Amino acid sequence: MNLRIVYRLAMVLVISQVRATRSRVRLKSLRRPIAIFAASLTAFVLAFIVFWKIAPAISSVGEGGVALEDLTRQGLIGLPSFVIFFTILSGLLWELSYSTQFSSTEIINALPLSASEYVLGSSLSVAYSYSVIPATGLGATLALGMYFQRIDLWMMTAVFTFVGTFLGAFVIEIVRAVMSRTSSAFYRRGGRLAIAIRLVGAVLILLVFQLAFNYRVMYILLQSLMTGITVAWFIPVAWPSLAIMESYQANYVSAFALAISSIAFMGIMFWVSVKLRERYWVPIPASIRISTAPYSPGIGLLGRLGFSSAESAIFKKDFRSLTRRREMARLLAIPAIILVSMLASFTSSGGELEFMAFSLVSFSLAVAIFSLVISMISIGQEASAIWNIYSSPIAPKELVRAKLTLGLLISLGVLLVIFLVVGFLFRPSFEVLILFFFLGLSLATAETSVGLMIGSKFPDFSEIPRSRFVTFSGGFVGTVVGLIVGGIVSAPAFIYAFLGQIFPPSEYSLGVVTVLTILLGVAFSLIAHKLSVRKISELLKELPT
Amino acid sequence: MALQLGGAGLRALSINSVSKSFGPVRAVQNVSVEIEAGKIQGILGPNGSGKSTALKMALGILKPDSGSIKVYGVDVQQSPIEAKRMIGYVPESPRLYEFLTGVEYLDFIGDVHGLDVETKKSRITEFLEAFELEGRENEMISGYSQGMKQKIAIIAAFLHRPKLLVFDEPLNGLDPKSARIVKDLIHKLARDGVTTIFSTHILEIAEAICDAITIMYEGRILAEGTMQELRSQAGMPGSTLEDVFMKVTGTNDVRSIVEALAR
Repeated sequence: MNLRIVYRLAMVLVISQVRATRSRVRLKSLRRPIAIFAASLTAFVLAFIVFWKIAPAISSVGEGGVALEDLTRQGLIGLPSFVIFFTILSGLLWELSYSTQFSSTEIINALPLSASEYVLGSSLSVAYSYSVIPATGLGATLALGMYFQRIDLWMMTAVFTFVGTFLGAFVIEIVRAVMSRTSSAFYRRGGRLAIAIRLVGAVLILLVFQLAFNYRVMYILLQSLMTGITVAWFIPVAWPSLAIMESYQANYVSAFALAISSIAFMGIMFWVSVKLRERYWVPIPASIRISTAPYSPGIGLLGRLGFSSAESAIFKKDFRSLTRRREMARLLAIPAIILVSMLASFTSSGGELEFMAFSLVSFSLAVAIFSLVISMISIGQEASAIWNIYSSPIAPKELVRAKLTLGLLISLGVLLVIFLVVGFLFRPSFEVLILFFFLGLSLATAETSVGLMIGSKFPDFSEIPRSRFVTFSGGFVGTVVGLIVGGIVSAPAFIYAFLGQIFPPSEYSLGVVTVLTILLGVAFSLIAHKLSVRKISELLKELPT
Repeated sequence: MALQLGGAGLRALSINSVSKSFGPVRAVQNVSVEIEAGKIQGILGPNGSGKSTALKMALGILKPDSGSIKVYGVDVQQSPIEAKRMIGYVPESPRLYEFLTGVEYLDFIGDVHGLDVETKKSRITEFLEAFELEGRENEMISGYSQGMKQKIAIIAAFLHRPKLLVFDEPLNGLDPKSARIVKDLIHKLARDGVTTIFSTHILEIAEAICDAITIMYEGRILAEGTMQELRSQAGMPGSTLEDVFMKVTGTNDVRSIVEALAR
């Protein structure tokens, strides 16, 4: 094995990752691998300083010292397991959001590299890319370990965090190789079902990732890890944490055995990933058969509803784009992530209006953000294939109608699901449900129109592994405008919910609030629609070069 | 310079004094071309000579800095939708919607051109059969080879029976049978009055199928005319198009380069 080649390969892969995620960052130094090192070092030092400063302050308050010592123990023991979990999940997320077209064009496969050099280089790049998280954890636990004079335990944690990072990276290599081998056969046999399974799987992984970083869920996980880790001896990824715990309890023989086992397990994972890489060296582009039925076109539902054939064609194409492109899963997961995160964080002392205020916030946010984003990316997601639109006789109004209809219909589908969830969980009154429905409808319409307006003003057609579809500044402007519009449209409902806690609402006020909400939604939709047509007319004048 | 084919016939494409720059790069400089309906016009030139830019402007998807372009009398800047209805276009390395199947992509193209259901169905079926894509039409384009993608792009260009075909390196990656089909189809359509303008690097093809050839270099037209006219302009009677091309573009002495590379 040539370690120089391993290092060079790792740096190339890191550069690829850095440029994929920060391609629009103007400051060049932030697009270099050194930026990750600098960020990790800064995170380590900052975490150390923060925890070093707050440790005495917390300890001096009542039972704070005991609680902090408990947290230190949990942190020192749990960090390696958390890092393994984080590395695997982040790696999976990266694979998910990686545009399909880049997965089969790896020139690296044609270079004279051994499988072990590739696996080690790739794993090194993964470990390096995600180093900010372990660095933060190590900085915090170093401060706490020093405060409670458990520097010996911290050193063990540091070693096993390092082991854990590589363990996670090797697992990712195994997943990649298996995916490369199985996906082709899976898609060939599965067709539409395989795509649906991939979509649902992707949304679930994103959801788990999001939940893993929710503070309440993290707390519960940490607690259960501490109580359950003693019975987790048969789970190899828990061995690093178990080794630290055994050492903490002065069971040095079992600590040593678990430490050796952890390192051996990492070695086995490396060996397996090398063997899989050797066997499935070149990823084969998946050949996905969508249907076996003969071609039989029809007018379609949209055609019957009065849409032109071009509008209907763009609608169908964009719907397929959303459901078939794996990088789109992250967008479809937005409402689920917002709702589940908010529900996981929700604590209440009871009270109908409090429930209403909470569900209003989560409901409005989920609908508004989803409608905005799904519409904002609708132009940029055409990417290099945008020439198909430019070379076709499609009028700007037709493009706007098709894009808006899709965004709106999908948003309405999401609205319906959220509506049912909120209705089921909080059982509001019929009048409140009606308000919720029209608020959602108004938000979906206004935000979809605003999103398209921003998306046509700031499209990003560039094709990189993690395409954004809207420029960085467009994303910023869109978020600000979307929040303002969403805030204004939902203002009557919010005022009703919050003021209602102080002043008892009259029997007519809910109706007035509903009508006001609809009027605001319609007004913003009309303005944004008009601006969208203007922006798309300007955009279609010349193919971006 | 302006090339006129066949005298006073119907003008399919009129490019008048068109220029286009991308920043400091002057991609096309004061180019004029006139093509009569039913003719096949080849555009030759080294890489970066402005061929693709000229074709994109002819289609109306790039805006010229100056000059005007008309397709069958329709100004492509003033009435782009009307012009595009008459044009079938295949870009160099076409990027298709890879998440669609071949047949879904063609169905999409048929719909945006407003073909009725029956016409669309019969044409797509016929073309898929002719280009030997039947059996693969329900697979996503992402799994197609480069040649299969090219075939789909070519079918899409022919699908709505355009009056003007704008092809940028149309035979890239095609197998011999499909290339032959495309060439014969262009000839057959020319007899029906369909005009074709295409760029190519394969000089034998240009020589074999074009009524006239334009040679571009650094954004300008260096030479234009029928094969005989080009030979006489170059002072090389009886020579091949390759020899004429090399002489006109000043790239005829490649021996020293080859020798240096082989060292």
